[in-house]
Amino acid sequence: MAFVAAALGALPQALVPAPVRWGIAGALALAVLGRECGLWSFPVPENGRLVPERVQHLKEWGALQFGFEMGTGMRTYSPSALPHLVLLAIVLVVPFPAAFAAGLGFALGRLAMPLLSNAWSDDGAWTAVWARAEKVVRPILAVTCVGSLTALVLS
Amino acid sequence: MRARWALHPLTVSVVLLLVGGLGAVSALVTTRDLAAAGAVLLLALVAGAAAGFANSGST
Repeated sequence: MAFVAAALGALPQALVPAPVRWGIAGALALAVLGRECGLWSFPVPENGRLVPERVQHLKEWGALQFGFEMGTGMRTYSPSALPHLVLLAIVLVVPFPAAFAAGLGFALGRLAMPLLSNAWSDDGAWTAVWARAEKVVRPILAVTCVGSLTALVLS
Repeated sequence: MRARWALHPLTVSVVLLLVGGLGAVSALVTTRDLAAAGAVLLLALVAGAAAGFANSGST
C-alpha cells in the first residue's frame, strides 16, 4: 500500500508546488492530531467488519490471507486516523524511498500489539490495560507521528 | 518474573516518542548527507510504527 501511495504521489509531488502540498499536509495533520487528542471527531474511511474466522482455515494460505487482510486494514476496523495521515503524507510530502520505511514501520507497529498482548498474559487482560492507557497513549502516538512527519519535511 | 511495565502500551508509545525525537534532532542538525538520509528513514519508520500501533487497538 505504501508503494502504491508512493507511486501515486510521484505525480502531485512533481506537479504541485511544495508550499501547497505542505499546507495541505499540515492542515490534515492538525485535524488528525485534534481527533486523536479527543478535541473533535470525524469519520475516516474504513472497511468496518472483521475478517471471518473461517478464512484462517482456507487451504494452506488461509492464515496468510487472514493476516494480510487484518494487518493491512483491508477488512477490519480503523480506530485511529494516523494510518490515513501517513498514507496522505506519502502521497504529498514524503520522499519516495522513505515511503518504504513508513510501510515497514506500520507493519512493525501492527505486529507489536498482538506480540505484547500475548506476552502480557493469556487471560485477555491486555484489553483492559489498553483501555486504561488509551486516553494517554493515543495523544502520545499522534504527537510522535505528526512530529516525525513534520521533522521529515523540514529536514 | 516478567517485567510487565516493559510490555505496557505507555512504554511502547514513550519509546516511539523518544526515538522520533532523536530522529528529529538528528535530521535537523546533521550536515552530512548520509546521516540526514538515515534520519529521514528513521522518522518515516517511527511515523509508520506509531500509526500501526495506534491502529491496532486492543488486538
